[in-house]
Amino acid sequence: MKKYITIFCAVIGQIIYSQVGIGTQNPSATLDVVSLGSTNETYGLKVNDRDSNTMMSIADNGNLYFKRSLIAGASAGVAGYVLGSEGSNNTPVWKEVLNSPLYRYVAIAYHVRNSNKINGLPANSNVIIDFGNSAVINSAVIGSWNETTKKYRLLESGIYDITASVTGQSSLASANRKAVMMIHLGGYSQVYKGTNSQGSSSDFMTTGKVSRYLTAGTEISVTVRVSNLSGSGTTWSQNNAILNINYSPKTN
Amino acid sequence: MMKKTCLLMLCAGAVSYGQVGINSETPDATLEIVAKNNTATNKIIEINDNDNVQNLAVYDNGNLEFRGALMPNNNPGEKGEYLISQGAEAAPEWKAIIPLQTKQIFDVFQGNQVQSESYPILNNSANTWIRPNISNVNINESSVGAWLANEFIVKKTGVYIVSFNLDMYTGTTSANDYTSFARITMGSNAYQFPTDGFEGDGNVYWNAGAGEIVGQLDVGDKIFISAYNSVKWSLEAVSLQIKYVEL
Repeated sequence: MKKYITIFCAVIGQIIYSQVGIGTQNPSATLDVVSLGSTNETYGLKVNDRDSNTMMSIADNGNLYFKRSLIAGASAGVAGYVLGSEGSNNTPVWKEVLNSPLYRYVAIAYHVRNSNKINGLPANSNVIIDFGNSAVINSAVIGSWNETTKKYRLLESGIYDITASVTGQSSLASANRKAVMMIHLGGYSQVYKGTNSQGSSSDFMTTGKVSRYLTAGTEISVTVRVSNLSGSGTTWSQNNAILNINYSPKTN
Repeated sequence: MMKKTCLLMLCAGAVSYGQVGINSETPDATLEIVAKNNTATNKIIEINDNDNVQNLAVYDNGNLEFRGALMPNNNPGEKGEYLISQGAEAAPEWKAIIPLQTKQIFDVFQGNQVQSESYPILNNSANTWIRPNISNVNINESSVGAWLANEFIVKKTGVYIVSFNLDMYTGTTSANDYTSFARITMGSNAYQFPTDGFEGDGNVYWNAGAGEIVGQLDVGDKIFISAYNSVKWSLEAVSLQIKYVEL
């Protein structure tokens, strides 16, 4: 019975306006459907294949569902392309993402700070820095931090910017104390000269950045060597350590 | 009369072939609608909810307008994902362009200052931390921070990547045994960098350095650069770049 009423409405619409309304007596399009609900539980339009599989539907909350390719203009794109807008009244275009600005990104893969003071570190040796385990950014697909070895192991090949900063304090002040930081990238080490904090008789800081193409499996770690402390057997303390690892894909 | 014929064909079509045409006497789909015009202002199809809010419209020129999520294969995607083609036979998929759990970096500030005089007056005092003036601002994303009185006042919590280079002109030919530094202040922390001395043409002397600090900041925190030299100096060049990552 409901179907007959619907068809009847459609017929009336066709006669009066050359427009067909379903659920409305005042259609504002060639086919104007006003649905019964406003949630995604009911549908304004549903298109099925002969086996009753839904090919396309519009739920009453506005969700547009479709089963297969989205053909913009005459193009469904090529696998891996992204849909890019061409502005109002123009067909959006499927574009190759690898050659688009979208893919030429730099992203932070790992960011961690350790503010806990670590005392009793030996002078005159390369001490591996403990950046702690409280990363605020930690992408499981780019790499992983090993709490035991204190090394970050890469899972993805790409371009990496590694920035590290370590502040410390010597137990015995010396005007000639020296701190040298090394960022280790696999077998290669980049060296940075530290500096004594201006106006302080005990504090020093080291900071450095290195950019390099690295392959999956490479381990990144940071060491600091403090020398020229006065007296024998002196130690130093790590005050604050930040490690930041940026990742960008190799696009050439 | 013509309209009645069309209507009859529509009904006949439905009966004979299981196909319905609207404004078409020969539908070649289960439901075929032929538009009356070919403009962007008229609609072929309009589908509304029960409050008459439009959910989908197809305009006569081919524009497709929709209100809700776009759900290829029932997946509405997540924020930050893009629609990526899977070729001609498969539904496109929503995917992240940047790898899972990484965070995108945005340029939010870049400013620089270069002096042009060969032998400028040494207007900065010795043994004092001084903020160089940066008035050439090339990037300043005002929703993330404001540049005021040579400091960047943070408006959004997140990770900030701050890089700089600084060149101090001292005009002295004395040996490189004095102390000079650059310092980046980020909120309550300050990070000091050595600036190495070198001798240029004409027996003049500079102290230059560069560096980068990455750290987490809160709303109201300030970022600025300052410089220190044990002899009088003037600014030769400075640049400051700030990048932002939302957590």
